[in-house]
Amino acid sequence: MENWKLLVAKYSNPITLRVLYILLALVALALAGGAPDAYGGS
Amino acid sequence: MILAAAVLGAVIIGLLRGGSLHRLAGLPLRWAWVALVAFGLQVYLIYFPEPVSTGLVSPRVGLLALSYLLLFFVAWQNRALPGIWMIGAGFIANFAVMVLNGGYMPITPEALAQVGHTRNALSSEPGARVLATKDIVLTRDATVAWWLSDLFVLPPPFPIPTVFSIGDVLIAVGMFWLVQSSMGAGSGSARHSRADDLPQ
Repeated sequence: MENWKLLVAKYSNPITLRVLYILLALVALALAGGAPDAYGGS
Repeated sequence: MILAAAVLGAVIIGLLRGGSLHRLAGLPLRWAWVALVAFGLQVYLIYFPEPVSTGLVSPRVGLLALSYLLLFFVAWQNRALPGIWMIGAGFIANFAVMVLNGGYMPITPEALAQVGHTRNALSSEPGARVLATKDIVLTRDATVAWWLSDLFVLPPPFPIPTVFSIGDVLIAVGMFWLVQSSMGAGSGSARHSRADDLPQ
């Protein structure tokens, strides 16, 4: 638990969160435009 | 799933080419949260599908169309970014073939069998929905603009057995382009110490 808290504290900075947000948005764009499914295709 | 792998693969390749996550964080992607809403709508639609496509009058098809309108909006708002026009072209290609075929992406019974997902078809009727996809099962003869449908197959033993369309290819290439450009991959000015990267 203590290690988990340290990990969160280490990575909880605005740049990391912004990277995660951008990556999530890009993956959402790709999957929604193409394939949010179990095996790939649209 | 293959498209998520393409995005994450593009990030890894970008890092190997000297790109930076800091630069990716600076990507001025506008209205990004709208893409998340569109994705959420589709997750609902593919995991709670109607058994057989009931055509363009179906409320579910209306929701699917709405999700694509949101995607078009995000693409338009970010049209100045590299690769977005190609991603948008992929959206248009996929959306066009879906509209022309009753609101869902056509896939042939043969392609479905090749990736081993025949059991996921929710009916034996033409136009059967496939669970956890945007697909309907149609023969090639019954498919309008079949060349835009899910016609490329990567069967097992490929690690992620996949069926995909020309639109999907455009989206994957556009994403790769966008990620590489925004990370500054391959440009001398982008090269910097790993200490610049996350976390600080």
